[in-house]
Amino acid sequence: MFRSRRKRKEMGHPDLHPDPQWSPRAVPGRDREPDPENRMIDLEDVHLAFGEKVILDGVWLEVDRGETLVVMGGSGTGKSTILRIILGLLEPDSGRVYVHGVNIVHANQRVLDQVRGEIGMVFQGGALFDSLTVGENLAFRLHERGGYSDEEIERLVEEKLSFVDLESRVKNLMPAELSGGMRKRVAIARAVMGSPKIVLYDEPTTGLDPITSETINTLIIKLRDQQNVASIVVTHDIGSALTVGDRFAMLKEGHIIFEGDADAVKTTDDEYVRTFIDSRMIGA
Amino acid sequence: MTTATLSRPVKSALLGVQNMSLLVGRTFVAMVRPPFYVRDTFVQMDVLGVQSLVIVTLTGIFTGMVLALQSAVQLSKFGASLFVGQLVGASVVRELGPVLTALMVSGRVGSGIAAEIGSMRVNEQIDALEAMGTDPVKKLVKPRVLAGIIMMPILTIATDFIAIIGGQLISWLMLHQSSSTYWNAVWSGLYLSDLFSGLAKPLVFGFVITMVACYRGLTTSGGTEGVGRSTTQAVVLSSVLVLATDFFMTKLFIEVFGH
Repeated sequence: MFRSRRKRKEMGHPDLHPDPQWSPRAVPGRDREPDPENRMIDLEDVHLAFGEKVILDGVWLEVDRGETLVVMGGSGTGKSTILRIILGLLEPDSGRVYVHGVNIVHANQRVLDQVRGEIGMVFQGGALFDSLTVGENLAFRLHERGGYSDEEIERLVEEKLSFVDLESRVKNLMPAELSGGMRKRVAIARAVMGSPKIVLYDEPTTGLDPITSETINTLIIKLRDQQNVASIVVTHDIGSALTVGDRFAMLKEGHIIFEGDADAVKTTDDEYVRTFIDSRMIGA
Repeated sequence: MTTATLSRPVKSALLGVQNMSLLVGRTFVAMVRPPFYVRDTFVQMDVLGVQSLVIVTLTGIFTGMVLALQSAVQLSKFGASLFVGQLVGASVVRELGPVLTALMVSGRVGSGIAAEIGSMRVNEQIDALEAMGTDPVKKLVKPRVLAGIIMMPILTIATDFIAIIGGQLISWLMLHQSSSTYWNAVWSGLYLSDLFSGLAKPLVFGFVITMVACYRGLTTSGGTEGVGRSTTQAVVLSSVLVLATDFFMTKLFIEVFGH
């Protein structure tokens, strides 16, 4: 029987079922048993190479609901590639990528679309659609998904703008009229339209002044605390990382060479991690 | 030159053909599957068609005038100036109208599409579309290709008509021919098959131009420099393909209709 788009929206995604072979991996350094209900992202032994160049060489990562994982590393180490793999924009050469238990490697378009419905992505430059107003950018996902009335969309746009501390009048502006900080805030507002369970941030504070960066950090924390979303923040801004992160992973030469909480970061003996953090702190 | 250096451009070209063919296939499938983005299609019809009217009008009038001018000079030598209308009509409807319109549209619209989609690609807007579960082929390619297929024949009819009017202007000013003499000559030089080929060609050209431009846009890489490169390649490739397609279609029509 055919279901209306509205009905499907209310039911969630009936086609998404966790892989029966999937069991969430324990988080390194954490005592408690992993809970399949709370585990939102699991990357298992992910490999990816572009021709001869190896980008990811056996990456394992996991993120629970209400947790922010910060992935750090130098430029070109494949941090953003991890986010693209989670979104299904890139397919790994091997390994498994579970989003709430659903393996998206080799998944069909229908499954990918449904999984993407659970994820909000904040791109590095915002990636706002130039030809649409801020309001239309925010409403885009809901229009595409269907089943929302104009009044409902209008209300949600205003609600999300207010969430990122922007005035209602901003919805009528074009992206070109926004400052860097406003673009990032609008990008966050657009990412959380449709209430995703996972939010991915690609260099959210890069190129912003310290005060605006702090505003973005506050928004990332607010989103985690109020909506209990699982977040991955890719950054090399150590100040921002230590502010928003619950756990930290360091990527080097395709491997996760360090994983731990803020205390572990500050007390690690790993020379590369120490050098990376100290140089960035001094640079900041 | 080694085998490895020889094979790299060949491999690259073959990969390009394969990817282009895949995009064509995906576009055909997208044509019959929702969502249809009717509003986007009308917007593209305006951009591609209505906003190209000035340029095709200018192309048409000058093409018709120069054609009449050249043929008037040559035909007058043999006392055959009555055939100016016939020559202008047949040349414009069969060849010059479709091809020149396609080349102008390729320059104006093909470059615009490649630049717009290319900028979206390098600014991660295409990734953002996919991340929100929207298929870029349905959202961006389908409306543009549909607009190209619909508007190119209409633009070509406009070019043909204006070019014939341009020819009439010259035949009146230089040869002092009456309107009825000129138009009778135009009609006597045309067959029903000319009308068919004159409308079938732009339909295919519209598809070729928009498809190539969308492909170049979607495969853009390398920042703003890459956008410039894609734009140039889109115009060059679509112009060459228009001329090549024109040759093969003309050959086909001659085989089928016998003239």
